[in-house]
Amino acid sequence: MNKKSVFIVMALLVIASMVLSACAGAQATTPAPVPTQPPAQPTTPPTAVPAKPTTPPPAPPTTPPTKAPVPTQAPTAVEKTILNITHNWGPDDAKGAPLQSIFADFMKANPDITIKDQVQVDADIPLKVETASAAKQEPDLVFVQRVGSPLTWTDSGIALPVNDLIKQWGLDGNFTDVAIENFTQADGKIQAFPLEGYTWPIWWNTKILKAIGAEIPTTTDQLIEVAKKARAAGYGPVIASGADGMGQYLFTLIVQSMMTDAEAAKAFRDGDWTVPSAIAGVELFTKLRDAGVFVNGVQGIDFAAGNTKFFEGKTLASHFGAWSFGDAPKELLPDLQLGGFPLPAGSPHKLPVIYSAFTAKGIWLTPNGATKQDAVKKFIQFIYKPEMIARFVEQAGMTPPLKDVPTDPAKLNPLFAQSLKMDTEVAKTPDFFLPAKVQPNFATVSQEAFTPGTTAKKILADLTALYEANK
Amino acid sequence: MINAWAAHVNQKMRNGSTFFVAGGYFFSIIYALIIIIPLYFVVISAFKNNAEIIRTPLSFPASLDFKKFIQAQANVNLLHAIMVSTFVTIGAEVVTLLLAFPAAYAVARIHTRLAVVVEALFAIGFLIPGLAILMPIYLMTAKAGLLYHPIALVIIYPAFNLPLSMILLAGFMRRLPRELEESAVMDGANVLQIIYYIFLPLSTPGIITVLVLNFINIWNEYLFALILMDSDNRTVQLATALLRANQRSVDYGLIAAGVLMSMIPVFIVFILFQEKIMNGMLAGAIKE
Amino acid sequence: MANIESAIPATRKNVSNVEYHRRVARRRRVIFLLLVSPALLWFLAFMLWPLLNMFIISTKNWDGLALPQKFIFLDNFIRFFKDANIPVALRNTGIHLVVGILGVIPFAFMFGFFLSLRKPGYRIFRTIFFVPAMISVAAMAMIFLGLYRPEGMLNSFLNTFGLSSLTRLWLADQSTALGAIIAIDIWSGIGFYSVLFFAALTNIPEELYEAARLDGAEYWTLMWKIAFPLMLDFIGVVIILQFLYILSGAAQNVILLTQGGPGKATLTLGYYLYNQAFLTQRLGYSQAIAVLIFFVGIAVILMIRRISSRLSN
Repeated sequence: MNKKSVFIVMALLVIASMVLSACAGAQATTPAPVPTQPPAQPTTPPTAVPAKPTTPPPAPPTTPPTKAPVPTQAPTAVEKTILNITHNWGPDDAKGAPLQSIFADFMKANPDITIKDQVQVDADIPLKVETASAAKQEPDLVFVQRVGSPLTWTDSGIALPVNDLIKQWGLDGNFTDVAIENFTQADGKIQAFPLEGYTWPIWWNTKILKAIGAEIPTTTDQLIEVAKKARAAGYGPVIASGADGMGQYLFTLIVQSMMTDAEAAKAFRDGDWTVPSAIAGVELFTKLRDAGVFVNGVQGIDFAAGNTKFFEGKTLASHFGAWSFGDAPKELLPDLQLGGFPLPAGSPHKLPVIYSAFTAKGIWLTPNGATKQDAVKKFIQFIYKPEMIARFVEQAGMTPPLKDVPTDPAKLNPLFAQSLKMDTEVAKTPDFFLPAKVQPNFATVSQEAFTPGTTAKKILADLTALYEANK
Repeated sequence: MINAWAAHVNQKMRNGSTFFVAGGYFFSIIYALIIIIPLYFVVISAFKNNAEIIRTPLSFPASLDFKKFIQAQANVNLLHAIMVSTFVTIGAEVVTLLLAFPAAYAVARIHTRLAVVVEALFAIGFLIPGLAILMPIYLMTAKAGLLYHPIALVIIYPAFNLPLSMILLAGFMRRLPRELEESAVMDGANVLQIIYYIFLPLSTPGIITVLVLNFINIWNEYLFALILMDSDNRTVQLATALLRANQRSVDYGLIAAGVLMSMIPVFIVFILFQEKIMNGMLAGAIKE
Repeated sequence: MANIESAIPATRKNVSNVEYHRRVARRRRVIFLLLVSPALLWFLAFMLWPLLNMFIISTKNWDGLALPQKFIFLDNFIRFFKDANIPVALRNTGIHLVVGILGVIPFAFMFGFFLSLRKPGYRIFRTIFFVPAMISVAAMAMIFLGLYRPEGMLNSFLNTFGLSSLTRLWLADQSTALGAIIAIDIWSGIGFYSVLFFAALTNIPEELYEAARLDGAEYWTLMWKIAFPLMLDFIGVVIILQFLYILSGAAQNVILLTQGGPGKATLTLGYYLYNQAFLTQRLGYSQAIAVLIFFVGIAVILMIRRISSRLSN
């Protein structure tokens, strides 16, 4: 290392930093596919990769202070407002394309407003928003699920309740009651504008059922029988991703099939696992497990493997949410029938149960966004136009939060269309109940539950301990 | 010269040493395979879809289609991320050295009681988990107006790497003979000249080691890059993270492609500079 | 333009002995401080100040980045005794450390020595050995998921060789999960440190080997009787590096692969810190864990340095 090379490196550094500043400033935000994490955060999976979505126009005159201001368009008489939006619907997400098209159309209709969207990994969004909020740098609107720490946002001021805004902006009555209810806190504050709804049904492979001469089971006793037949014929019975937070929801679904929503609240919210129906639910689960209803080694299967295996067509049933509708291989589609989980004897439910909710995504308003009331109002009114929401429904199979959304049945994903007509009952997803501190640690217990040899007693003890530790 | 030594050594070895060498080769080959095979898995996965990757991990891909690489680049603009990471790495490495080298010299070669205190202070730095200081650093960066600019990382990363760099460099410098300064002083050199003309060249192995270790730390750092950068200024780790861990829809082939692309610069640097590194280390072995 | 009077007492001036030495010492200190201050200031600003923060936050109850903080003083530390996870984490971390150090350093040293002999092909081995260090976290996760899955490379390998009885759900079986995680660190550690050892070993002048070789010593003897003692200092440094890595850095693998499970099989201190800070959002407690890690780290490092310096004397 001599003087010369040191100076060369320094010079290169300086040049590089100048280039980078210029580049970064002019860089059109490239939306990216964004991973999500349990709990229930449905994002429809990559379908055929759409042509690169329309990107927002390059650096507007008002750039964040750190980037070299690009003195292109001289500031006109109309001052441009920038809306900073953070979301996780990148190009690989089926909702990415519709979202970008909505952004583009909105900006065409409103030349004085620019949307600067940031794609982030879904699991990172709460952290990023919260740290940014501490420095008052948070984005104006955040697209994130109503699970985990966002639940605390309204109370801590990171997000503002939208009750009045819904009324003021003429959206009152457009949302379905369920959607609004899903986003309403105990004290009546509506935390965000509901956006993404989902169903989470059981997927049955009717081809296998025919091959073994059985019908879709509607009771758990039938299920055990069908599972036995499937195994005997060389097929896998029910597959779930016991290893991660997705399989967790099959566990809770089965437990909840014995409980009313009120009882479920006692157990999943308050941690009271002495509720008789809770005990019955857990015992039901172990009974099914030990009867061979789940594939071998279920506790070691993660979501990707479960997906792959089921779509090979050799497994009887699985438990995927609406986000997987686009993943199903075309050849398998005719064989797929969506339904709920069979009912056990003594269940308070009348029909097979599924989860269905709107907590998958909401549009949250932050204090920064509140300073741009006018722009935000225009955007919200725009995106919640039925024809805009319809784009999500048609292209991504999203359950809309609005009452009347005109969609072309021909364009709908066949599985999604099926899901609209299922003969099932909705159990309240545990996302409403699980305390923020219990939520991230629940999957460990459910994995234990899927492991053969774990008694119902142990599972209940683990659950109680989990809640105890996280009071 | 070193090769002569090696040849000389080989001449003198007896049978027992042949076993040693044979054993050495044997285990080295096995370990090398254990490294190569998983890497091969990543490489071929970049050409397959999920089902193939999961069912037959080591099978050669049906076709060598580069579409996943293109997709990875399109999805997260990997090339730009690589550029950002390169900029940050070079910058942080230079700053770290500028700070650590004089300090290491001072701690290693100047006899004052303060040296022990200072060295202990830096050693404490090892033990600070990054998580603990995330928020304070974020706030500092925001206040300084450097949020979302890669310069912020260039300023912050050296702080994390200082303890290790200092201690390694000080260790290397301690091993150099005392007389070095004496003769220099007799020739009328001042501190800076001594550092620059004498210790710098001699510490090349130490410097190289430090550069290499820091490079890995900086290139692979995720947490602070995540919090301090926005989507326009992603580092390579942030970009590849956007490709993976989607619990609902993983495309392992895409991840493999992205990961490979992010590792290529690293590999190139190491392969290119291997000889320089080794020369640097050999230079240190030659006594003045 | 000061001379370093610390190196050699230059000329004595017309002052008393004591005064002279005092001046020399002062001069030394000044130069020392000048050289050290940029690094020190940087360090103080970006690490020590936040470190203090860590201690402060560990005395608070803080349940979310935006929620208010409340002083509860030592309650977080008292919680250690009530928390059933702590003994488990300590035990797992302890196993991780012991296996991760004993399973890496000796073998890395031996590989390093073998490389330093420069037998034909050593360059190739050296490059390959260093590869794991260059692999990013994302790649590691992918590789090892692919390895440990139920139908992954490891089980396929065992099946092909008729060892089906040995196949396991590596990451889902309580008896193998921790081992699987530690294996990752051993896999990457041996390669990485072997190259570092190689670099350090090439600094050993041949004359030192010469004498022993003339006496008919073989490689094995050279390795342990000559190279090893000379490297004790460096080995101490390497052990500290690996120790620190396992204590906090290795949590990355747990985060990506097992999340502390199955059950609590892979719950280590580092992972627990992450879990409490980011998942369970108990920030005050997570900092208390950080403080715990901090003091454990100091204790062990001091111990290692003492042993290392005693051995090399």
